[in-house]
Amino acid sequence: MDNRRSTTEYVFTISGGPVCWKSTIQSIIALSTTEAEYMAVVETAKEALWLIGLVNKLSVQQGGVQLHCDNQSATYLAKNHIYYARTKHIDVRFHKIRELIASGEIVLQKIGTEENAADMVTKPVTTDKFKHYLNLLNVYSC
Amino acid sequence: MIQIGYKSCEYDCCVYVKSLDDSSFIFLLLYVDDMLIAAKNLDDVVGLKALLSQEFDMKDLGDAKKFLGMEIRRNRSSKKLWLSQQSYVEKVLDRFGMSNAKPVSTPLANHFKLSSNQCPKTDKEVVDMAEVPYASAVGYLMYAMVCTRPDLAYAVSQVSKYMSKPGRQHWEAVKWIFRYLRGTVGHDIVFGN
Repeated sequence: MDNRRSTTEYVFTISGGPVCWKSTIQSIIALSTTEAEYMAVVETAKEALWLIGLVNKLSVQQGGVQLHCDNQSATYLAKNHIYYARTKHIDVRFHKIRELIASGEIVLQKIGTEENAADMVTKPVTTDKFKHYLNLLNVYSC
Repeated sequence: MIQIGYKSCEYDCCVYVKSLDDSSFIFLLLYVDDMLIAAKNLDDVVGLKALLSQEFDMKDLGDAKKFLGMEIRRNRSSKKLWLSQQSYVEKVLDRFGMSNAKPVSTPLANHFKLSSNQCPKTDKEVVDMAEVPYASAVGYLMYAMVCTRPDLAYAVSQVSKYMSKPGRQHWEAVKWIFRYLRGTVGHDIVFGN
């Protein structure tokens, strides 16, 4: 709240359990929600690239990484190579994601907020929601 | 390691890999003085252990139960694996005198409106806060977060913003996280279906 920056966060899961996660303040100020989400998607894709390399080295075979994003306009922006007046200012380096999607290394999908477990790491959420997200991530006592 | 045919993985230099005759792999994970060996075939693991103990003085702890403070439990029949840090969290709570705190259900509640305005301004406040082990508490939380507790990620990122000049409110938030941990010491990450 101090400096108007948004929070990027992501969680990667393998066979149901989370293996890699991060919650951090973005390094630059986003002018719109779409831009903030878009930057988060790109940040996540960068981490995904490294993980793909590592997983392949460990000789685990899998298809393209499925990336879920709960923002419709950010997913469209990543898939559609069109310039709009409102998004033309977004730095070119963030469009790396388009290349990754085109090559099939990353599959970007829109999901509902209630299915997006990473939601709990961007803001304080209510107890019920929090427990729901923890179950999604397979984090619980047993 | 290199001499006996292992390759350091270029994505993570702590991992050494060697491919075996039956097209499976043997992995060796090394972190300072902790070591994990994984292979499909137990004989390969035993062979590597024998080879290593010729070179170094080392202790064989059998099946992996603990690695870098993380407890590993597995159930082979149901193909599940649990990772937790129960004893680490207990130790930290004990250290900060929070072992008997009242548990809460979320890591950061909505009523904490943390901002840099709450940093100490008067000399009295600065002296007051100097006695609080803020940085070390956040450090302990951060280790738990990095290893097995993704649920703490947001809360820890919020409190660690004020590491250089923590105020009373920020310390309250840290204590809240400890209370959350109190209620959730037994949380593990579960891998497998």
